[in-house]
Amino acid sequence: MPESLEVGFGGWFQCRLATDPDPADEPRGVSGWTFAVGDEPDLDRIIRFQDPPVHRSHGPDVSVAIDTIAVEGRNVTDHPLIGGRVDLLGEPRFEGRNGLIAEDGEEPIAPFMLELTGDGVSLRRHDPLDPQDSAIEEVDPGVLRRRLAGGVEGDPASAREVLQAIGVEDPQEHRRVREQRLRTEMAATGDPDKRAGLEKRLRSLRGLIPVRVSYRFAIGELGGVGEVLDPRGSLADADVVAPWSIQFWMGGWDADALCGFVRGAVRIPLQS
Amino acid sequence: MAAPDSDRRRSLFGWVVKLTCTMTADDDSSVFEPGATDDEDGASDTRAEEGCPAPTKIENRAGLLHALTEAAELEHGLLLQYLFAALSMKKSSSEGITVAQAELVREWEGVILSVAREEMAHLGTVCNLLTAIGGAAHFGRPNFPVPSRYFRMESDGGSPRYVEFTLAPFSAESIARFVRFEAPEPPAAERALVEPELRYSTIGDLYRQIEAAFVELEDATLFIGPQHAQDRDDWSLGLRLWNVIDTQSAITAIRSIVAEGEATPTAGPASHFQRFQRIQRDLSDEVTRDPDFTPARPVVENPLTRSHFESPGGALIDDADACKISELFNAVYGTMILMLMQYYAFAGESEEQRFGLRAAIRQLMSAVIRPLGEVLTEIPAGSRFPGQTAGPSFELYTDLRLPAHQANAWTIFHERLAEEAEACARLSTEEGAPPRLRFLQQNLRLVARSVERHIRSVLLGRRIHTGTPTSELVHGA
Repeated sequence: MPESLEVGFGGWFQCRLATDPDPADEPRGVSGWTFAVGDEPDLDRIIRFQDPPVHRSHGPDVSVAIDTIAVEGRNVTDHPLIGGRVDLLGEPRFEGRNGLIAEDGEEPIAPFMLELTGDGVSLRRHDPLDPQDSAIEEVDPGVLRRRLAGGVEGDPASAREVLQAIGVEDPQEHRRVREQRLRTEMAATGDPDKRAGLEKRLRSLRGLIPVRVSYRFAIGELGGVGEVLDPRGSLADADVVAPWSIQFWMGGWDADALCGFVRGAVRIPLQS
Repeated sequence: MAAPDSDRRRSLFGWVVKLTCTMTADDDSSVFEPGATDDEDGASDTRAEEGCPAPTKIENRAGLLHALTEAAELEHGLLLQYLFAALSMKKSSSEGITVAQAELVREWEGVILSVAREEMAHLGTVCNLLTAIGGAAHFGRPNFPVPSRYFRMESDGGSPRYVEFTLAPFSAESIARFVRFEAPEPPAAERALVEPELRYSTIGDLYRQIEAAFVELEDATLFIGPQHAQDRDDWSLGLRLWNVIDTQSAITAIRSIVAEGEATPTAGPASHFQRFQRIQRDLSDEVTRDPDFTPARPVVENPLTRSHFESPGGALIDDADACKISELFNAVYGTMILMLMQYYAFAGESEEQRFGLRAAIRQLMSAVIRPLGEVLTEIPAGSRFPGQTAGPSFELYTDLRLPAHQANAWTIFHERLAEEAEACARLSTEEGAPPRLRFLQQNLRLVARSVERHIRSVLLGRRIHTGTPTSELVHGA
């Protein structure tokens, strides 16, 4: 087996999506448990690993970062990608569409174009849904299966791992603190519009949901090559043709902040 | 149960009027003014009718089937009126309301949509009741507006009176009409050959007549329908549908509909009646604070793409885009009704096929019909309606019927969906087309594809059943 570079990452992402029974393209959220408030822009379903256009007060800071680099199991602490950013490009979305494409907990992310950047270097790779790089509504369901998540994992071990990753011991306490902060914020404002938004958040407030969904596939398995920007030559041996295997979970959903946590790793083969 | 005479009817209705007026005393008298020709209690007077005296009591299976068919039409008609109002509502402060008012409107829309979903469950339970006694699920209904068909009552002059069914945007008047629909009533107290002429002042009144008939008719001979042919699913929406196998389960089903929806005088805060009353109060408070508050888009009442002989009136829209999108909406709605008919026909589909059919119906509701209905409320209705927009007209252009052969039905579903997806795709590429159409045509294609996946297994199932040689299966499907 050839050597590989294993890039570990984690952090909070944001996804402002409508939830069942609202239609997937519902702009504000009516019947589901997610919604846009006040002068926030319409819901757009886009998964954002970096720089969200909206930040809900008291929510986590959105940023997914590279936290470990290993070559054949050996940690490399001075790699230029350490501390770098992980991004999904091309306005990726969870594509469930009320069960039309996938059931709850299985929604594929499409498009899937991973970008890793740090200290002047970057790697980018797109995973086409099929060899023709078809739009998701055109892809054969059998072919799409490799990109589905494995369903909702809510068992105690998964919940523990999720809570540990997001640094929360007690979801109920987390909810209580959030409620208190929202109430304090509401008491401090006389702006009726802001109050209306805060009241909506309080009415709909639920605790962190310590469940997750897991993805595991090989980027580029059905076609395409990666791109490497590497002026210093530190990634010169990255194989951009062989598939890059990736596995990650997304969970710890903070519905009030429209945020979740992602943790995972991508393995990039190195040319010998 | 003694046959109600017209005096008792009058006094019963008078009580309902009094009760409802009392309950809405803080509001204006709009509770009973849904239309210009209506009188103070919202019922339309028609000319005195002549002819043979019709029975008014449910006395046999035919009468019960007739009453349940009326109940199915009522539930169907109610949920469409609720949907229309909900889909007409403004979405955000960009539509001339404050952020705080947008929050109010969203809450109201959510409540009305949830009530509409519960009406769907009621319709499902009524279909189960029909099936239980040997009838067929019923999804037919007249086009809107329907001025004189439902809530037939006797007025003082002896002429029948009705409550109009009309598609109207959300307003004080429409929510008052909804309160009227769901109004409670006090607990009540020669065999005819033909179906009775039903008379009832409230939905609860109709259901109580149906319940009484279930009690009166003989259990052993009444429930002839196959027990497996009833819907037990929650449709992934948490809906509660009741199965009916005998008199007791029929009574339980009927009472649950009345309690959940139409309410009793002691009903809890979750009843439709009380939920609508809260909206009515909140709306009244907001209008007092801001007399210019307009929670709905300027949607025309009873939009129509063409005239329907059975439903005089309505607003014939004439904007070219609105017409085309309305026709697409009605086509999809018709397809969904056909698929519902197939689902409730229990025509021999496997569990997997029924799952696929149910999922496709639910997806059409959430991912196509609702957003397409909203799209229509943003499109001008045409030159005859300056400043007003179209809306989902829920028109049925013909009497929808299922083909006798299961495989043909599925083929037709797929054919219709594929054509509708193609039409939506064409519309989405026209200049100035609403952006949501592109997404909706994708969703329609996905529904068509999921139905197509089941067609082969449906064909196989039928041919195996009829003894078709395997070689023909391989080449024939």
